[in-house]
Amino acid sequence: MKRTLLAAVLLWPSLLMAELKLFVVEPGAENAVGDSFTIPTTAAGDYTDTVFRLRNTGSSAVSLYGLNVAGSRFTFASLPTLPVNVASNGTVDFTIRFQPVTSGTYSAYLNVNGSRLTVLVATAGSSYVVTLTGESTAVELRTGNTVDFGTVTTGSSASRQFSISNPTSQPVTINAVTVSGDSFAGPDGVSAPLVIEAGASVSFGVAFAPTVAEAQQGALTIDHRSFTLSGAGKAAVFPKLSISLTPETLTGGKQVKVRISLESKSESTGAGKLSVAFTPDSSTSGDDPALLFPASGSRSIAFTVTEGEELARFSSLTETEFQTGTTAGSIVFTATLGSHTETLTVTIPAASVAVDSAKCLRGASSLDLQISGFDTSQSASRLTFRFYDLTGTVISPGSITVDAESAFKKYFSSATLGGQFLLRAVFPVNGNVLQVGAFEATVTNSIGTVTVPRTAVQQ
Amino acid sequence: MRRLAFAILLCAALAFGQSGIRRPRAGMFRDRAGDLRPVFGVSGAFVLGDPLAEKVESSSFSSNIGVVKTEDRLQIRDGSGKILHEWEVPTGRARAAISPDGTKVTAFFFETGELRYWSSETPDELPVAWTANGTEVLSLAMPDSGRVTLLVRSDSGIVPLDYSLSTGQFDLKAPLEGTVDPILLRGDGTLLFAEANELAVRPENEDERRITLACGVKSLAEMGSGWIHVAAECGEFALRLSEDREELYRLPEAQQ
Repeated sequence: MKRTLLAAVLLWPSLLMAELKLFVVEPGAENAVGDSFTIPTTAAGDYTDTVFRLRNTGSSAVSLYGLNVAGSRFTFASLPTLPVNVASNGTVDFTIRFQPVTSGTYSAYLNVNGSRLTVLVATAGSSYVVTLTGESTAVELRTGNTVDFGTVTTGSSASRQFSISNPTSQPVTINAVTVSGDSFAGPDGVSAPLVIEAGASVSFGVAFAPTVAEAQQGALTIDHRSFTLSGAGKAAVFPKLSISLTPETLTGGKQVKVRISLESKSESTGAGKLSVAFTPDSSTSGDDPALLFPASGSRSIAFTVTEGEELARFSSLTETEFQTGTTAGSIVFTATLGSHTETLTVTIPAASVAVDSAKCLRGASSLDLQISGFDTSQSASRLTFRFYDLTGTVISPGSITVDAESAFKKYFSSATLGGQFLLRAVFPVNGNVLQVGAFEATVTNSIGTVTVPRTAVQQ
Repeated sequence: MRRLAFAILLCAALAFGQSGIRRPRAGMFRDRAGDLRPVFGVSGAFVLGDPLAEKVESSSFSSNIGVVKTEDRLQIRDGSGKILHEWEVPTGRARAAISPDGTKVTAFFFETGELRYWSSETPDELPVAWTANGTEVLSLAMPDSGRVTLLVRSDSGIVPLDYSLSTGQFDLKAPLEGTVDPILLRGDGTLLFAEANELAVRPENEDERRITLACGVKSLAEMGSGWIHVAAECGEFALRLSEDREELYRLPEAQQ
């Protein structure tokens, strides 16, 4: 081997060699190569590709007519068509593949235009192992192998799990794990640099999410080893959508069920979005933060459609809750899936005040009456109260009316909860407060009057 | 009667004194991220407020007062979430309860197996009430200010253990048949427990009622104003119990 290599060394004008400098191309860098270059340890049976670059550092063009790697298990994986004229500061790239079949130490001369530029040194032995893992199978990958993600509908995704294991007795350092290709994403679950201890392994995922219906390729690169990723995008075919509510007619202060149905079984799997827009009645003070999808905590929620199904799913459920809010106005639901958009407009009507809870607490010398509820019209104006003694007789003077229009108007003008309110009315009592047994109240707004039925006073 | 009628000095204007109109509050709960969150609104129209505390282990609120266990603090907070009292306590999980009149707090600490209590009459912690390493306390309630009931897991099932704070006397009751964890004992004696996707409500001396959810329940806690926080695998819920029915609503997911 040595004699062969030495025989390959030919003498050429030193001027030419001074102009063509050798570099190794690494991620984000171009590093000068000296008298020798060590190729990363490669597992027997696998191969390592190293990209080199010749750069003309002289002021005039140089002809490159000879490029040769002399050594067992070293070949060119890519080579420019020679001869080639390299302009001043121009470059020529080529790739040398080291592909050992047995363990050991290897070397080769790299000759350019007949002169030795460097000695390549490489070791074949144990290295880390990259495996494609499935539910029940695991396939060891060799550099250059292709991992197929199959055919995936645009808008949805497929993923594959990989592992890097270290079968050697020494820790292995991985400097870079990258995924390239427009529709490929990852790695998910690992970040380099990392050290894998002897006998240990790390796992990570790579996703394929095509946005166009065509075959696509990418690459998974782990340091100097690269694996081809392939997949095909398929145009999503979805049936027409329809949005339905249960109940169909909405009122304020409810959590209703929303469902998205498909006209027929879906031919594709994909993801869509359901959103709402709210226009409050002009008589109200504005937006209502309680109008939302609780499952997302916002006014939009994602859904998925699965091939063969006729109902969209919100997470795993075929319906989701929607809070109607407490402000009169118009709600537009918009569902989008692929090229389909469907809308449904519903109204939250202005209505009489709705009472959610009412209680009256008996203090030492007062009655503390609290009514919580909502007024979708935000027009509450008149309150009446009536108190009963322990025998059920109305306490004179009977109904007590309070004009609260300005108080409600002031509250709603700066309200941050739509039409919701908590009314607290404290009645000082000079006599025996224990004699007050129950209360009744009414709240009137522009639509009508609601009555809080007779309710016992609490201790 | 006439005297009473004259005695009621009615609010001529709601803006005066304690009277007025403000936004309703449903209570407080520990959200999925471990933050203490206020819940505003009425039934079915909830809005979450900004977090008031982080790294909360557990919380229990009535309408105007609550007890919060953080990593190493036990806090008494008012209905708005403001801290009224705070003590350094053992780290880790704890169950806590507050008396109906808001004057006494009891807490059981899993790390040390201690049942401790505090009173509003004294700023410092009162002498250790009880220590029971290894006891698994599933719920804690204070029916009144002098008594605490612990639900403990035993070989024969979940058993209520009444403990008098004044005398130190124990009263071990009969196992609660058919109950499982997560379980919540309320001050009024009502039991709530979850079995798979069903939430059982067993008021004292009344028939059990069951509510079906879309998923399993992870924990139950008093949220305040009659609401119970139900943390389920598929979301956060608020349950209100009344004499003849239960109302279950989904709480909005917190925007982190």
